[in-house]
Amino acid sequence: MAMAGLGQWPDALYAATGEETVLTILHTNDMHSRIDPFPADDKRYGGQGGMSQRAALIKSFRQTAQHVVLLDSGDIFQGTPYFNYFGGEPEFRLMSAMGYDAATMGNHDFDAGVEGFARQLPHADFPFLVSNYDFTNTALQGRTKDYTVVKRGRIRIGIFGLGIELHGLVPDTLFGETRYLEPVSIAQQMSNILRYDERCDVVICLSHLGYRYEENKVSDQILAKSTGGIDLILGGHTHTFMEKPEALSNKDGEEVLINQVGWAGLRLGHLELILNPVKRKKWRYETPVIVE
Amino acid sequence: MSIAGRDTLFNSMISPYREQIYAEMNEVIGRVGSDMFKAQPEGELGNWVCDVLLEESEELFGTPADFAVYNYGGLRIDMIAAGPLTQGKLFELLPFENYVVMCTLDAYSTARLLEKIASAGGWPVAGIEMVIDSAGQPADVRIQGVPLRRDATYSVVMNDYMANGGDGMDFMTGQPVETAGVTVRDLVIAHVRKQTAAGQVIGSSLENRIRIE
Repeated sequence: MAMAGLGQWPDALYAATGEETVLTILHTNDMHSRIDPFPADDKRYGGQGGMSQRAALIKSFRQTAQHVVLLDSGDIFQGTPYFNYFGGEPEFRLMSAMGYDAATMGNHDFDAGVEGFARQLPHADFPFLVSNYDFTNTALQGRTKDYTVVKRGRIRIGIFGLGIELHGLVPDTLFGETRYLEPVSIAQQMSNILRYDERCDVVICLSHLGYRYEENKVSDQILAKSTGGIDLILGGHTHTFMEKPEALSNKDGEEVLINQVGWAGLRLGHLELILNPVKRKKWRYETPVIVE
Repeated sequence: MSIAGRDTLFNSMISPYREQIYAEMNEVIGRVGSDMFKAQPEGELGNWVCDVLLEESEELFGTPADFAVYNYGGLRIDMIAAGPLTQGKLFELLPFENYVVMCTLDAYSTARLLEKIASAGGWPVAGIEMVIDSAGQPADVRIQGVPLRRDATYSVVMNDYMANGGDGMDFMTGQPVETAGVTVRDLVIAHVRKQTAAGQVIGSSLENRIRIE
């Protein structure tokens, strides 16, 4: 395009013509090595899911959408013989080919140990974001990131990740010296960095904390209400099928959305963020797309 | 419906992996008599897995266990349909490399375990009957038909994830544990093969092992 390289000029053009920017956010969680669809005799999910099927859906979104980000909230590993035999290699290769921009780690991503996960990392060409695990002295030291900034057109998208408490959930031998850090205060730090230092227009948290609990345990709902500056929490772990995102008020009284799309790659979450010429935000969303 | 999707690039990426495991995973090793579901407080799938553990415990450990218990989250699919049962289906049900263990629990630790089962809304068991009362506590417990005794110890067959304190069960760590050196999945697959060789179908039913009041 002839305008490339002219610095701020395209922004001014958008403002003058009053054009909106639409960011399509596609997301998954807890895919659990479900590379093939569920067999036809499965009473609940027969014929649904499948990574080739998901790839086709994502491709069709990319053909029509203005801007797309594709994200995953963890538990990529474990659940079919593909993982027992290949240790996560096909999952990472297929996700890379689909163009995933980032993912966080779930508890089952430790099922082959920290070393098992690290061994598969060369097959992933997208970053793993986990801001509340300290991997010092483990095979993952320096191999994950706290956050990333993705640019789409004139918008800057800040994305960070949060993992669940591992002790009591994952055998100690598998997570080794990984230290879990309390996620709420770290989430606030990440949000501040992304919003103020990195000047992001939208802040997204990839969370494997779980949607909500009856007991007093940190969850996406608690995270949403206890922090400021996060626009969207894409959750996992509880395998919650949400028909639409839940809108809550954050600690500053601003809106924050939570979404989660079941498990096994049965659904592809689909939200659209519309930014007007002065980057005021508006959400548009539909029920998650059934992958088949 | 076909396994292959619409995207030829992805189909060609997946098929080399699928071909390596397809024959083994699609081997039919048994026949399921009627649909088995994962459910709380009790489901056919959980009853079946615990029945297998309890039944096989004597051969594995020399003495039969008093009861079997399995963490609900350790069963990873919602159902197994009536009809042919493939090896791959049991990989999906029991994907973890968890080993079969026998724990010896005193009455206090047994009570903690029963409280955990009750607070979780009912876990798969065999050899136990109990009620979850309105306060979410275990009540009317029968182990092998006998009420829980304060002076007794119980041998309990389970997976090593639970025995090592998984699912928030720190109280389990440090209890005497014996390991059989076989994963739960391999044991269940071997059991199915035996059943099939003996001309039996696989199945289980609901028996009110755990009821909610």
